Amino acid sequence: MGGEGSGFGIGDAVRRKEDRRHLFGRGQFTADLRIPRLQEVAFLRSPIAHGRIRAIHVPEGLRDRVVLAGDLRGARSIRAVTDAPGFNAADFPLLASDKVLFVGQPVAMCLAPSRAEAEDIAQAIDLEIDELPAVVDMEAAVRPDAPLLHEGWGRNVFLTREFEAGDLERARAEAAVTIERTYRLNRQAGVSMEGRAILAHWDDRLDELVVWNSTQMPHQVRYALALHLDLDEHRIRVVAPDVGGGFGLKNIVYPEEIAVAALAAQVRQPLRWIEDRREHFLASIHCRETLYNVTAFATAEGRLLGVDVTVQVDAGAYATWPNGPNMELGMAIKNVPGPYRLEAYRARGWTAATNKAPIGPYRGVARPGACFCIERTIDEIARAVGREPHEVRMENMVRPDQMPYRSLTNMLYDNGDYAESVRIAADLVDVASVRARQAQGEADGRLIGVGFAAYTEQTAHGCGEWITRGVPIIPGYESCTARLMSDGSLQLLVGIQSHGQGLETTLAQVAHHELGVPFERISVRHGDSALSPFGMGTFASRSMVMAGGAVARASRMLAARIRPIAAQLLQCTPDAITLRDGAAHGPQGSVDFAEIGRVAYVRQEGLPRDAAPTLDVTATYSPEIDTGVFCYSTHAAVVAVDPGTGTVEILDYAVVEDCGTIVNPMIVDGQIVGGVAQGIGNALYEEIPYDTSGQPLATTLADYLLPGAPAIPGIKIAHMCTPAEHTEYGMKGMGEGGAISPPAAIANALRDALADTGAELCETPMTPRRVLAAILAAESRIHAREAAE
Amino acid sequence: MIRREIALEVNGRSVHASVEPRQSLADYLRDGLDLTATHLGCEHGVCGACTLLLDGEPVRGCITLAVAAEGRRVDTLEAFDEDPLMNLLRQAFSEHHGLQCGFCTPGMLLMARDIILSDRVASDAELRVALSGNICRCTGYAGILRAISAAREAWQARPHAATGPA
Amino acid sequence: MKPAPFDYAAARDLDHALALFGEAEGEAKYIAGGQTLGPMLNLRLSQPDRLIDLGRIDALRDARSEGDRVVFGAGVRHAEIEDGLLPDPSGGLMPQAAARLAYRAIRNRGTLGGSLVHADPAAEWPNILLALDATVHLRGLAGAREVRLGDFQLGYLTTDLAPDEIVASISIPVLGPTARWGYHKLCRQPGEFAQSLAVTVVFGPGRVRCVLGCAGPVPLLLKAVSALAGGVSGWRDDVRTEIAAALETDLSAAGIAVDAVDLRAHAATVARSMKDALA
Ligand SMILES: Cc1cc2nc3c(=O)[nH]c(=O)nc-3n(C[C@H](O)[C@H](O)[C@H](O)COP(=O)(O)OP(=O)(O)OC[C@H]3O[C@@H](n4cnc5c(N)ncnc54)[C@H](O)[C@@H]3O)c2cc1C
Ligand code: FES
Ligand code: FES
Repeated sequence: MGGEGSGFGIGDAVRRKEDRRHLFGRGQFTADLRIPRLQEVAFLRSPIAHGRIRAIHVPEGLRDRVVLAGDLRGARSIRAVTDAPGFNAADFPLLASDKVLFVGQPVAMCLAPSRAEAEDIAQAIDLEIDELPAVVDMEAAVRPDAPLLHEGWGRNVFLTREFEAGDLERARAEAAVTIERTYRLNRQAGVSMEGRAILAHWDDRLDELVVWNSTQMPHQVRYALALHLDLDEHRIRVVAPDVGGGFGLKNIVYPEEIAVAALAAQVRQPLRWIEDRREHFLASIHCRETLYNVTAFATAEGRLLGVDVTVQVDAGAYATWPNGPNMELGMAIKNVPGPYRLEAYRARGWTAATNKAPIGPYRGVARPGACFCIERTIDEIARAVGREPHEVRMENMVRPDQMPYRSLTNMLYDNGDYAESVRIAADLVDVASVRARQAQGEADGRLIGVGFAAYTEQTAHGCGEWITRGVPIIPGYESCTARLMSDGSLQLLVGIQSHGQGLETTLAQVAHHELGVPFERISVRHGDSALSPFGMGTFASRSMVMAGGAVARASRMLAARIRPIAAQLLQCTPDAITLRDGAAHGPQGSVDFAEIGRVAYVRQEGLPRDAAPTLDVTATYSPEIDTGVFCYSTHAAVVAVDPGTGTVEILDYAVVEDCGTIVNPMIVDGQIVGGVAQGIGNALYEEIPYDTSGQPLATTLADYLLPGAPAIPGIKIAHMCTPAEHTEYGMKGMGEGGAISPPAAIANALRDALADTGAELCETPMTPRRVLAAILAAESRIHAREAAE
Repeated sequence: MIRREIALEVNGRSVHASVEPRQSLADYLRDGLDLTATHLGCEHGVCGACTLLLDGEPVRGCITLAVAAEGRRVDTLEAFDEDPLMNLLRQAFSEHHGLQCGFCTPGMLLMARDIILSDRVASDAELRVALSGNICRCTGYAGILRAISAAREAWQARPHAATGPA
Repeated sequence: MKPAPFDYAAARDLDHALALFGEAEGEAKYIAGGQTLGPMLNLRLSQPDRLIDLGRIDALRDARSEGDRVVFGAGVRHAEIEDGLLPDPSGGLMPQAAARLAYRAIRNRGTLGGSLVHADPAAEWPNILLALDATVHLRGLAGAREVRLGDFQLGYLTTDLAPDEIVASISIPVLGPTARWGYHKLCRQPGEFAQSLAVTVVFGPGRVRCVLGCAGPVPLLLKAVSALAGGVSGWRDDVRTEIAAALETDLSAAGIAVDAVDLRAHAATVARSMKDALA
């Protein structure tokens, strides 16, 4: 291939093209854009969790600065429908006019030349709301006597799912060990450092709506705007400029975005809304809030026989576009079996509606919970049979000779050696030395422990898999236009969006690998619906596999166009041509890409008779299988707990993972560490509690703790690299994975550290208070037992 | 609308402006002077994205009033295009993958430069604490910490390290 | 997240500040480093009509030794204390605490006086300066007065300060050569506010002041715990149970109910501060 050995091909730790602008402070985030006549938007939001709007009093003289629901013309409420039996749909109004269903729900837009003045207007509006009883707890929400959020629903349930395979009764009967547990992942937020942002204006020359939006999926936003506004899609352009983190929460089209775009089209006035941090906590999607009740059956040796689980998801008040809150439940049910051979499995669950912010996909989607459920349970089985948890894990895992392995939940695990990842992880944290250290005790009185958590993650799934989820948009492909320019440089126009993943670099590596165009002469353009062919965006650990595949295909199509031209110029046959080092090489000589480009664009007479001018091709790509390729991983954590204060320190952390062929190891490791850091946030710090009236109690970064530099230890990483058989180069997706295991690994490490006390952590985040409470509860159980004896 | 006249030095140039007293220094730089390297990640003092230098010391731009900068010297990342230490940091951040989305990066760079110049930090643990007021959601800090350590080493090893001014 | 409108004036000196306050219409408020007020303004939790900036008053930036006390101007910044550039009455306690108070960029602006006036029971200075038995010197439209810090802090975020009054300076007795101290801050990450904060100062034989933050609405001077510490010579691990009991006595004397979890955490920080002071 063209890029081999250059240092810029597949497998090389190439430095990123995107770094320079950010390092000079010249990144272009939505809030950095300047446009004349701009008006700032501030949203008036509901201060009440559940209520009926009686009146909205806008002070005299301000009415023309305030936009209420009835003022928006030709803009429709959001309706996200999941194709599943019994699904309850509900409109999510762009601006509430009748009921409000969560604190922070947008009610009015206030316009002014500065944000401060827009907020003054919002503060001046008097909003009268008749308060209704708030539904805050997901278990109470589904009881028959609970107040209903949405009229016409029989119960506060979006969706129910059930699944059963294998003979659970036999597993129950044969079990020597039965483990029953309740696990709770509390509500948290995604917290990209840049919040959501939108700038919309009408371009009179092109007669189109231009929307600059901090989004992970500009083409889907364009589609959504056409769906929700009375505007043809050809008159909408959506651009995602630099995007300061997404993690799933910008993979959604929210009421605010549609309202701002609709109003900009209606009043032909440039408008901008920049979400502030409090709004982010109030009204960007929340995530994770799930409750697992699990019963697991195992033999006396610790062989897993069956699992019976009930999953409850707290989805908040509305379904967001496109997928609503409903992937959580289905994915939780699918992923509980994890990397294990399981012969009997029953899962039931429902997604409850509550008076809280809507939930949505955040890095890992449902899998951190599913992993917590099965991995904590495996540890309990190991303890019950008196064995090392990592050994019990290895014995229960799907073996390499069973690959490809169809799980009970119909996932096709493609390849790899799961148990080996556990073994390497155990080596990396040196379990034997942890055990020795435990036997000795710590000088400072802290207790140390080691814990593991493994997962196998479906990535880059195709059409068929998405259909099973009942989602309205099927993101089974990606696209790329590759354009060799007249001077031999190359442009790649792609439909994904890169907001930290480094795709401007890695996609260039792919094209360089295929064509041998010098790396620095390749540019990747993304994030602009007017520039690139339609693409789905960056989410679901898909972009490298999908867009990388599209770039590879487009590059090869381009190579097939270049060869005959080169052959003509070099007087040989096309199949004698090789492409490398920026030139086409024939048996007797070479011609560089600049010459080929010149001929293709401006010297048509030099082309072979049947060759079309220009060098511009477009390819779409879907992986050869729909069921995805599975990136798997084992995490191991060593922690120290202070039994006096409940404080947890992570002493050591190892990740062993297999994402197949690695395109850029520096970027892959960066994604892993970044994911682990978010997982540590999930495990130890991040939470949005609500009080009983439905008020969120963490709406600033002072209340909502994000992990800082001292919270994230140095992370050891080992790669296994089993190439996938069904993707270009053998790549597997890996962006989300780092965030999946940390809560489970850390909870298991705590369990190990506190083994003598019998304390267990079954809830995230494991704050010092929760850790201390668990220790105290265990102590009082011990005291009660001693008193009884 | 209440306004106040201020005169200050921004990135080496004197500027005069009329600002609302309630306007933060960060907002004034961004909206008044189009200096957009100073980012806003929380606007309540926690995240460090708005870090800038006031009379040479790092402060939070989001909770410093523009009117309070009257007569003072303000430097944002835009002032450091040619700064030798900042260029070492840039190179190290790129080499060690110290940024992903880039939103926290300007604040990180200004803080990192202050940490190296003030020489308050001896160990890796202290470096982490010194950086704890700058939040990065993307990188997990590993690349940032490596980059700062590498830049610090290069800075201390540069010729005339003992005499050269910053 | 932008403040409501306000007017602003920078005071040249204390008299000017008081004059500005006297002539202000509506609610006037002083601002020092703005590191607490700034977030509250941005969140619109505070909406004064006028801010009077104390940041340009040179007299407030002064710190000097006066006999057996050190007198800090209220405008002294956390970073100046951290860097050890000022006289230190506390034998290293104040610089050590300053280094873990918020973050450097905040310490470069935030002031001693602002911290005492904000009166957060989870903040460093209200607790540490109470243990050191500091006195605050106030200037108001009606004149000057001084108050022992223990009498200054009245409740959660509430002090004895009248709206027009300014904390001019804080005077702190210099610890003797044999004095010892121990300090422990329990917080979830460096720079965060404490969840429990204990400081024990042993001034001399039998003279101990042990202060606990975060448990009640104000920093608590723990009488029983202090007496216990004054009565033992040197640290023994088995004192821990006595500390927990004494702490319970102090808390119930103050009418403060904490649950078992918080009690365990507070007992741990108190014990650690005492251990460091006695060991
Ligand atoms: C992210 C973050 C983390 C923090 N972490 C901590 C921490 O861990 N520990 C901690 O102790 N603090 C912490 N702080 C608060 C910080 O220490 C503040 O600097 C301090 O509490 C207030 O000082 P200031 O000078 O900024 O006061 P300002 O914000 O200017 O004023 C605070 C209040 O005091 C009044 N005031 C100020 N000076 C005077 C005066 N001389 N006379 C009368 N009234 C006056 C003001 O009117 C106002 O009501 C943190 C702050 C932030 C933003
Ligand atoms: S924006 Fe200033 S600290 Fe976050
Ligand atoms: S690189 Fe995205 S927040 Fe730091």
